Amino acid sequence: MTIHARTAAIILIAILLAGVIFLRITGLWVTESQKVPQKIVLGDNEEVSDPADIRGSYTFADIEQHFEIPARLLAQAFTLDVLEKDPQLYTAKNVDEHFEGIEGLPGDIGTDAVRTFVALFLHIPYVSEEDTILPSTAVDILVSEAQIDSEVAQRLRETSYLVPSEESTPSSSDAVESPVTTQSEETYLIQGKTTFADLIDQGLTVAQIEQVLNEKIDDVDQKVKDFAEERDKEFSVYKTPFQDLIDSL
Amino acid sequence: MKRLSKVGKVRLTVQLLFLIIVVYVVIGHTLEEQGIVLPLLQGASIHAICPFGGVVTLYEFFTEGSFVQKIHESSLYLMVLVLVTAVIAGPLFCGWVCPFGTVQEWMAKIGRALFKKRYNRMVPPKADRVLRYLRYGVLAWVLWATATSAKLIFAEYDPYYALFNFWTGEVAVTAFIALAAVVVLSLFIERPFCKYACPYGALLGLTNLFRPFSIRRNESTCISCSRCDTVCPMNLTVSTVKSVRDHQCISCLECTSEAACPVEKTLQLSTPSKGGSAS
Repeated sequence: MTIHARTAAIILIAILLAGVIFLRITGLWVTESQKVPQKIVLGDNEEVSDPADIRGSYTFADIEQHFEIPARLLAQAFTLDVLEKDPQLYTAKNVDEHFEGIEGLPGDIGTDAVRTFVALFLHIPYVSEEDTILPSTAVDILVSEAQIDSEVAQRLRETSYLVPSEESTPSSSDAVESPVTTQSEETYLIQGKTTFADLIDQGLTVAQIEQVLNEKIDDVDQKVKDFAEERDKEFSVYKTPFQDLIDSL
Repeated sequence: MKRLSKVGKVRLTVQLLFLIIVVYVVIGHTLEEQGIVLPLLQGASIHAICPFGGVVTLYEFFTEGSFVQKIHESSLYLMVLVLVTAVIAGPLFCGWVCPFGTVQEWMAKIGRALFKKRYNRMVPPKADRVLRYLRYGVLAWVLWATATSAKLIFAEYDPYYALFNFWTGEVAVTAFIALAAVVVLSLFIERPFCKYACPYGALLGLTNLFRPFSIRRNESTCISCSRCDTVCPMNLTVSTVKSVRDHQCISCLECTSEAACPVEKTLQLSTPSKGGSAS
């Protein structure tokens, strides 16, 4: 039996394209992730879904399923209209779109703000991106529903975006008067840009740092976050003990 | 410029079809991130339509029941579909579908114009023979690295990924270097990535050893003009074998075209015949 060029072409197209069409019809053709966040592998929250793994394509229904935070509460936190759309159908990326272009927004409210909100709600350590802020409505919900620490709440309020009262959903009454974009100067917070040199400036000794790292520091100007990434570890693995040490000084 | 043979025309049509599909998917994926959804292939990224993704995720799939980062069910099914075609007639995917192979062939046209008959004959045969096995090393490394990390490690070095995602800001410098190397080498060697580095080609190439339909030469009608050898993009010697069983054959069928073989039905993609002709 012989296969000529045309037959070869037909075989290829039939098997590949017809195969894909068949898989699509039968619902087996899946080209996107199943939206299952990774589990935290270390620390007190081991085996808990990791808020850091929330992606822009996650719907509030996905977040509700994996983090047990009601979609309606998420929509309220980020002032998304639940009358216009089922809150389960909103995505983290919709939060970006919702706050995009707002004049005077002192930072970025998007997917990372959703991650931050979820982490704070569940009391899971998470380091937000540098520009990330929360709307005041989200802070209100964190205070009323998740009972976050009053100091943390105060810090969040200092950087939050004050949602105008006509836009906000319940309990935004205790939001601050005006948004402030800087962190509190009284408490040093370890961020993504924090270097080992910064930690030393804050009063930690090299020995203390190396004890946490469990190895020598090669470069004091290296960011702690980069150090963690190089070793394939979560930033929080190092951030939390360093923050505890600084807080205890 | 040389006119295309019938085989060449059919093959180019199929190559263009799959190239357009891939370009459509990558553009669609980019637009989707901006909120514009193109019909038919919603959500698909270039990883989702790469059958090699199905190969690298096999370990994760069987040990954890999940997929490595960025790989989905679609890759696994495509791997099976491509394997079916390869088991029947060898690496047709390499010669007819892979858009990176197509792009390398287009680069070869420039190389051929520059170097004429010297093109694709510049690597010393001894070195070439050894280098041809390099891709099995690449395949072993990719499988090991992906299995141990559950991440798509090869994307950081993959020139194909770099070519079709260069505008996204997601391509590693190493992948751009690999792409540049392939582009430059393509001016001297036809399909250098396929010959020396492609891990998927290495895997599919193994089907050449047992596929029922192979390139078979009818010794009784062959006039030993060796033109089939000169047209082979993979530099295989076709003119002296009964059946091409070389692991590097990409089933492009160029050697069977009327432009390469002046005697009809002397070189064909066929099963063994009972009488021994064309076998």
